[in-house]
Amino acid sequence: MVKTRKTKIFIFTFLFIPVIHLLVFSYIPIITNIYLSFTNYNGVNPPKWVGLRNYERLFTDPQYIKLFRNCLWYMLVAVPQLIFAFVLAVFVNGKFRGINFFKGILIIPYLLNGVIISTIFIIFFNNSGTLNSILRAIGLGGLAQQWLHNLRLVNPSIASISIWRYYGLNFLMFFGGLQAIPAELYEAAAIDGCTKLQEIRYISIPSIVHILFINVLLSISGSIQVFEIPYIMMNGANGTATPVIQIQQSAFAEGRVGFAAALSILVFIIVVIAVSLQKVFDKRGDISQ
Amino acid sequence: MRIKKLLAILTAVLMIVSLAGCVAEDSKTSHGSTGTTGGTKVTDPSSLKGTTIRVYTHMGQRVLGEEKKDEHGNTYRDVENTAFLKYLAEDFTNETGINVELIVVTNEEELRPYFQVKDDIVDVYTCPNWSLEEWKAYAEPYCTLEEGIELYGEYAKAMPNVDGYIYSIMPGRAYNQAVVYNEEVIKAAGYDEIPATLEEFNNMCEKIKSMGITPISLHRVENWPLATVQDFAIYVSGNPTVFAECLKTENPFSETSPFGKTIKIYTEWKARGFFEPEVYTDFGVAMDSVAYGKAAMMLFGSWVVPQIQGRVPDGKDPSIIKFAPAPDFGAGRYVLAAPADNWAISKFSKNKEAARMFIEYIANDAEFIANSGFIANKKGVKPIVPELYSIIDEMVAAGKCQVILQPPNDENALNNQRVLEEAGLYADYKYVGLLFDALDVTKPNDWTAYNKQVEVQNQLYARYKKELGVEWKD
Repeated sequence: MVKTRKTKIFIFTFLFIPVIHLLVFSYIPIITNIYLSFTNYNGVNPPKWVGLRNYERLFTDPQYIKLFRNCLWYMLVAVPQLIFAFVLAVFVNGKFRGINFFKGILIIPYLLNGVIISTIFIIFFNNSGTLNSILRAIGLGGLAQQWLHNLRLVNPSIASISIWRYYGLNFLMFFGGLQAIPAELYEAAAIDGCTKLQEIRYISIPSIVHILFINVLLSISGSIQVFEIPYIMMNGANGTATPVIQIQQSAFAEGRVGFAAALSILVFIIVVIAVSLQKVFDKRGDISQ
Repeated sequence: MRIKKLLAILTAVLMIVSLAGCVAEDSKTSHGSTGTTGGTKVTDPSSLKGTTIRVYTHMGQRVLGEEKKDEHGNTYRDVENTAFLKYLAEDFTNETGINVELIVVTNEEELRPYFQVKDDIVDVYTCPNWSLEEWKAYAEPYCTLEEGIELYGEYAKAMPNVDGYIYSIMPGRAYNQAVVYNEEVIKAAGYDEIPATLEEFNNMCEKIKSMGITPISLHRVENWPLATVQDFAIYVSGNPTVFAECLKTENPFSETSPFGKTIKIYTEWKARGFFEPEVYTDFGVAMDSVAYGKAAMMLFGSWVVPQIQGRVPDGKDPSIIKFAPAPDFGAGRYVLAAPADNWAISKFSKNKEAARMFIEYIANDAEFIANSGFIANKKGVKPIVPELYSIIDEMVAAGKCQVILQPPNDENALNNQRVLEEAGLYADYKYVGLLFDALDVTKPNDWTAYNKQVEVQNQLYARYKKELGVEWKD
């Protein structure tokens, strides 16, 4: 179809706004941020070029290396989170009465506001809170801990909240994938004498492996961007600071905007890698289907 | 079809115009005079009638009222008896015709974005913990240092001042960072007053702890309570410039240095279980615990006394909340006197004259300042001295303690601050917080992580001190 001049103007006019929006609110800030990451900008005085000093600091100061170590806990808890979500999806795969209600219940934690979740779990992990009270009530008082004060337990404790918060979302993704598997495959497997475990191993898992990888990559990018829960619960104190908490504190409390920019670029790179891999696996999943 | 096209193009044009409004312009900068006269002077007050000024304050309890609990345990705000700033603002409006909009912020970090984009939405603000660079960048010079000294005496030197101008006026004076305690609790532990020596103080804390009560309430979830350590270092050393004198040593965080020694004392208290088990609580919870006798004391300034007194449960006398100097750590018993209550005019305000009138109104209101827990310090204003101050004055007169005036921010103090900023340790009192957090309260005898953190911080300090090329100057 030959586009008339008028049509071209029309198209251009409508494209102009989103492109300007993208430039002004995405690309230019990113480029500015990259520039600032090589300066000592403090938000007040003009930025001064310092080269790689901010990045050098990030990779050599134990205080900042620990931020990424803390993220590892959030990545680690993704393993039981995904296993639990997958097992749940397999168990409820099928049509039965109340399935939608059940799905609705499972997604509620994901829909809750982070402030509410933090408040709930501050009480949950309190020394005399829900968890310790339950342990004492069932005769396991010896396992009661100072969950938020023990330096070895505070990060796993806070990270474990992600299991409760996100397993519902993972479940829905797995469930959707399982529902898309043709029933004939299961019928054929049953005819061939496959056990339930064999069906899961040879039919269910291969069919949704790309969803699994996507969830893993989402967990990686999500764990590097953790902010609200450790911030609201602990303000990043007691060794719970994460990269995004440090970015916020460096930029707005410490006045080290250049350093915050460098850290945010590092986080950005990690997230971009994770998202790119996710897209690759997503494509492969489409192709294999 | 034509109409549709026209509508579409019009919509596109409107969106372009709205985007253009996002472009920052300096047209928002204020028109106030910031020349060598040191701030805007009020010309004709009557011409300001009808103006509205926005006052941003973190002192929520003085605007909304103190949080209290009724007989059923429900929390409510005692507006009638404690919303002093609200009533002051109403009186100011009645007298001058200038309207005052009070906005409560959780902390000063919420204001920074406004100043960074030069927004004129803020006229007056309270802000206790900014760097001098930020004061100069975001606040209007209030008066010259000489004018400040003439009106407020030596306390003016401790107000935020840069290049001979004071940027934030502090119309009250207070005793900082000592012991605010619940008299009933320490009496139950067998003590009539806060002990004079550190050893006795620790013994008292052990006794209180054995009673199942928290000896010292420290709400660690926010970092500003750790500022106490900076002032306590003055008591530990008897030297008002001890913080700046970190520049004299390569190991300011080691126990051999008075500053490092103070942080160690604090952390030892943590190891001994003197702080609440849930140390990552907020300020309100900490005050409540002292008011209700669940904790014996807080290590804060006199300004917190009225706030805790306001939370004492019904049926109890609020005067059970008292104030005492910190114990003698070995260099004498001291209490730090400092100017109090930062009030500043935003550099980008369009109502600087009205803003100044409001601050002057506060500075002249001895009752408001006393209700806030301070003593009015402006020349010509008859101060109302709260009882807690007269107790300190009596102790000083009897030679039981000495008053140290908070030192001004001289070049050494600023250089020390710069080194700590470069090391990423200054903001949020990380130079204390990271050490405090390094001790695992579940392993109180294991100081390995603490000692390692001391080493790390000393190395960072030495490195950036060398990089910045700063040294102590006599």
